[in-house]
Amino acid sequence: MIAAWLQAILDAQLLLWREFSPAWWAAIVAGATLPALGVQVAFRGQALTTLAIPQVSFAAMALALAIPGFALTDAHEPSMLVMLAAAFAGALLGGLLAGQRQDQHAPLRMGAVFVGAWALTETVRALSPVGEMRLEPLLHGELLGASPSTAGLVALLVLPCAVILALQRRLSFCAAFPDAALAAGLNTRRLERGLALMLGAAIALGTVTLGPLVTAALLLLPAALAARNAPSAISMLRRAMLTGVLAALLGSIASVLADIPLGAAIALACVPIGLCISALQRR
Amino acid sequence: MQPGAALELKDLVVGRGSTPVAGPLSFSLAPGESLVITGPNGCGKTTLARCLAGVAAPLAGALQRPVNGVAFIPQSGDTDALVPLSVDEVLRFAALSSAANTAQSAMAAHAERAAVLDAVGLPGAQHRRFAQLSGGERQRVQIARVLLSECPLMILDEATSAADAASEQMLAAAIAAHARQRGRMALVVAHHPAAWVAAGARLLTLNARGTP
Repeated sequence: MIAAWLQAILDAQLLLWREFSPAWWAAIVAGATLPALGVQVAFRGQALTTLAIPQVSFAAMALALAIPGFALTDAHEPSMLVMLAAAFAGALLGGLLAGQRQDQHAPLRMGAVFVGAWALTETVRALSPVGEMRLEPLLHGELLGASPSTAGLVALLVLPCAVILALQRRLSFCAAFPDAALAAGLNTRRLERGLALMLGAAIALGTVTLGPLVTAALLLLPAALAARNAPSAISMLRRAMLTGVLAALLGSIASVLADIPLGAAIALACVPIGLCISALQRR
Repeated sequence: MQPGAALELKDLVVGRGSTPVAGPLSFSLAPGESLVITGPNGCGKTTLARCLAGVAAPLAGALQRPVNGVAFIPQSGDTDALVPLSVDEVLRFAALSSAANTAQSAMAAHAERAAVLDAVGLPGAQHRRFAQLSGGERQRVQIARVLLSECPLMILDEATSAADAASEQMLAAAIAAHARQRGRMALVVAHHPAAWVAAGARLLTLNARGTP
């Protein structure tokens, strides 16, 4: 009887997996890649910037949808290429508004950029019914309807993540001891610009495919939780990536079972998983 | 001037922004030599060290630095506690300089890091968290990083300020001996130069106007 019961659960899970597999793959890839970028953000204390840039990116997408004949094809479907370009332009603009200077006014500036972009998004959504319809699911992080092409776009997140992982030690040196890194012969300015570019690309891809909530959540939450008592930078990176992947898996299951948006489920799942990993490592 | 093996300054003026704080200064440092720079607060010692390390540009004069980067320990304010580094990770940064020996095996590199930690009085500290060390211990780790680096020029800006007198003497002797044996140059900024002079370093005293 127990075997039959387990078999029924397994069958149901397999059915769900087949039905939603593009969404789940997308969530797992995002869960593994975005936290790796988020760790470098945490090393630089730029959490507010990471919160603001997806919002500016999203506002740019909303603007692109609101301009008649710009982002919508003849079949009234948004052109993914135009949306990606708009999101990337928004991410770059957000980066420029943030500025390279991390002075005492930087958090205030970033808070203002976040609120401004949010207000702009809401205004444009109200003025453009088509945009409203297209952007609503992304705002809630409703990934379950994701198509294989969306999952393919999410898979592109592996590229910026691979670049950041390859440069991880150099970037950590620049973040921890910027003057010593510069004196040692590292091109710190180029490394920081490269990081900003990779982050912009990842945020643009994430915002178009997963929405600003999931993107910001996976960039910030795993890194923030992994930073608690991390014995080393590499350990923090591993913990953050593990938290992201497990949150994507658990969030996917919770989303189907409780009928909640996948993005919100992933973001919420990060917290208990991150705390558990942190507690296990401490023991 | 062209980059070469030695450090050479001719009428060098350094400043904060466009305001000169030290100079004109002229001196040279040959491989194997150590030099300790001292002087009152605000005379431009740190500005000079940053300029010689390549972090800031001089306002005037000529500067010849050795090629392949500089192993630099800035004043303690440079340390960023946001990066949860282990001691071993800090030491591994030495291998990122442009002068790093990439042919060394991982096992040999590990043994060398352990030996250098021993030499600075922190045996077995590789897996400790850098941020949880005391100020003096963090300075020793930074000195170990500089000793591990292959850069021909080492610049230490008040890198032993948190050490007690006996430890400062031990560290000064170790660094000066290392420079002599390996043909490297050590330029040290210190408020108490006695330990460095005793270890064989030349002394350059700046006055309040930043001139010798």
